[in-house]
Amino acid sequence: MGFATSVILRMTEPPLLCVEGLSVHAGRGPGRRTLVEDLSLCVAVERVALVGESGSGKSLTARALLGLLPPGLSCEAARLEFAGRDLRACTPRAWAALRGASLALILQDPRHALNPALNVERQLDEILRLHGSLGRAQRRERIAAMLEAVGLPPSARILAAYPHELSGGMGQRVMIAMMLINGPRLLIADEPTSALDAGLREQVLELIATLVATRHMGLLLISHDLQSVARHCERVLIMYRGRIVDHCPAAELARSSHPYTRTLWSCRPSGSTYGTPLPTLDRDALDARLGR
Amino acid sequence: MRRGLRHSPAALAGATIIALILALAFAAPWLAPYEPTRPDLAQRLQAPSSAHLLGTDGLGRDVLSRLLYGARPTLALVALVAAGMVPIGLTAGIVAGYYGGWLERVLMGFTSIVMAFPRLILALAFVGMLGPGLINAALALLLTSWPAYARLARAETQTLRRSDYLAAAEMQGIVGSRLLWGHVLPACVPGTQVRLALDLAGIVLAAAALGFLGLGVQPPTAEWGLMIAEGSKVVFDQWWLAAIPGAAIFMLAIAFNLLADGLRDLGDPTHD
Amino acid sequence: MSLIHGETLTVEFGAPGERRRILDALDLEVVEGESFGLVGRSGCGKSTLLRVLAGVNRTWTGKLRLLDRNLVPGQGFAGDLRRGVQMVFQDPYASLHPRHTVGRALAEPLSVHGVSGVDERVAAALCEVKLDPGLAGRLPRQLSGGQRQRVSIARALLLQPRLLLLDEPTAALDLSVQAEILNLLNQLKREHAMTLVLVSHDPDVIAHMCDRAAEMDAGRIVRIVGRSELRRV
Repeated sequence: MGFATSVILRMTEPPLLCVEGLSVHAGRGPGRRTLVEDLSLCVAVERVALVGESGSGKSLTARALLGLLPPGLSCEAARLEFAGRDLRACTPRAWAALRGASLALILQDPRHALNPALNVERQLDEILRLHGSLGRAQRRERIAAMLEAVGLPPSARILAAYPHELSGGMGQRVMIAMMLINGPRLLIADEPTSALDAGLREQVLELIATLVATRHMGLLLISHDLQSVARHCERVLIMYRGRIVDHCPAAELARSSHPYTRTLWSCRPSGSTYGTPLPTLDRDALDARLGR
Repeated sequence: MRRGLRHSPAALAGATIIALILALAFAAPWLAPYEPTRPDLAQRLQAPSSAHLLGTDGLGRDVLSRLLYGARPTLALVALVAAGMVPIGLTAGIVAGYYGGWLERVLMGFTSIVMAFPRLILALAFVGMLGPGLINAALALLLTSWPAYARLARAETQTLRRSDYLAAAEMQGIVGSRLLWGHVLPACVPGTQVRLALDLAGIVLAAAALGFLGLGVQPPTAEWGLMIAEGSKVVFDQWWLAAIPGAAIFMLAIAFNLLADGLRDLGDPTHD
Repeated sequence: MSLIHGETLTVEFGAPGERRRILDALDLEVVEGESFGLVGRSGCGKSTLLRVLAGVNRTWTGKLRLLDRNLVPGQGFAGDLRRGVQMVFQDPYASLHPRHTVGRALAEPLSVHGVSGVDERVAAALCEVKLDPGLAGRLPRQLSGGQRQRVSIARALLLQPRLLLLDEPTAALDLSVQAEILNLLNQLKREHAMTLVLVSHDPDVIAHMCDRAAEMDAGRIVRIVGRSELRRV
């Protein structure tokens, strides 16, 4: 509650997404495990990053926000609102109308997210038809405009390509195009560059940040690389074992006093760290600090 | 995968029925009220009664006793076929998939030829050549059923070859038969288990068909397929003589189907 | 002292008439005791080169001298050479057999090579990579990504190699876990006096770990980068 309130007071725009007290559990009864505990965050028309290691619960949080938790997991929240709408009361049909239209999700590996049986043009066309009522010519225009916006020439070759024929970077751009073509208000990107080569990562993150800014959207970027998201986001929330343990503006990350944040920030290798051990997390101390 | 049959009601039901039939077949000498092959012409074609719970057949033999004893040849045949076709098929498939080249072409060509024939026709031809009897029927069904396992094992082996498992094992100096049996074979097991359970349902029916045609065990031994053949002669008046062994075959085949269904679900990581 | 000397190494594949070269007449020199990096985009041939050095890819042509032995194309590794060259793969989930426990994965190479005292060695190997020896009974899927990669490293070290090849060893790991693994690799390299050849698409990892690095593109080494230039990455 504390984080969310203080964050709300600092924002000037009304939040797009507001979450308070979100918890995700696996199983029921005495053997129930809590995977995300009492999480609160808000995203307005801004770029927010959610950073943590594998197993911190950040991907589960993203899925809970979109109603996409795998079977066997349940979630509850004191407050879960998107653009003023209570998501906890959403029926499957209401979810289907929201996702892909107002709420968008980009995943890590485009090869697993794109339909392998449809080519690029048909996938984009399908999602346009699902959520809108544009005529054929208008849809084609939109598709061409969207592909250009993500840096892919709308040539016949690209339009006819199947997902397995696209390189990693191109596949990711197609996924971005697919998710943004209906003009959503909020984009959740779950490790969008982890499956890409290092050289491409900056480009794709830059693309996402630019598109989000020009389209006046909100962005929740989930990642395990603190330095990388810091360049593209305004605020950063840091998760550890299901809880948000720190939050700070991106510009102040390098000066953070929280031990976890400091280690995550400085554990990146580089030419200047040669010959010296990299800073690593002292998990026992961190667990003690969190009272586990 | 070893999450236990408890997690799949289908597998549990199937396994229970099979276990029950196995137990009854094993305990036949103690459970059967009469000798299965002892004729009693005075009691021919009796309807079910308190003396003969399932009635008597054309030679006055007790149907219940014949049913219990009749499970034995069927189960024996199924076991023989399974014990034969799986090792042969897996060996051929793993060797073909691992070594590739002409060995693979020859083995897979052979499996294609065998698979091109309808199984029962080929089995009939074998039995016709070798003569009727339990062992020959088992041999006939075995020789026509192993190709599916060879194909399965070859596909798994080829997938494995492309992965890093085998490269890593090679680097540790693990080669040859140790590699094939210790590393490649375990990867083929899940697919084989499901396939086997499903196949056995078909084998039960094929065995019954061979028995029905008089090509399995010979009379007076009790065998379900044979009992149906004998009962079909009087099916309009004493319908139970054919229906009861038919129902037994049906139960066994369904049980294997359920087991296969359950095993497939258990092996599937996305199934809850 | 040159541990690896390769001249005009070439790996081709494809039908006759449509041959493509993954490695194109490549020359390579690695000095004993150094950490040598191979960096480049996906598809430049760095993983293939590593597999040639590992003895896993035997379809190469050219000249190759490895660990004081001249190799013949198509020759498999055996004996000292096989033990002397080991590899850590990128995805431990794909290189550890899913149905073998950790203990078995570590014990098997020891028993194949007739090494005695298998149990103690397995426990010692796990301790060396900072894992609890009690993990020996677990299956790979019951371990985290970082733990699996430590098991892979432990397995590679069991036969006491002189040359350790690493194929994107931290690509599948979080940044924080990567830091731990890189520290571990450097420590083990010092303790066991090994030579490392490290493949990565991440220039930061190369700059941190390596004394020298080769930039590869389309099957060729474009240039060799020294420490002074790596420092500036």
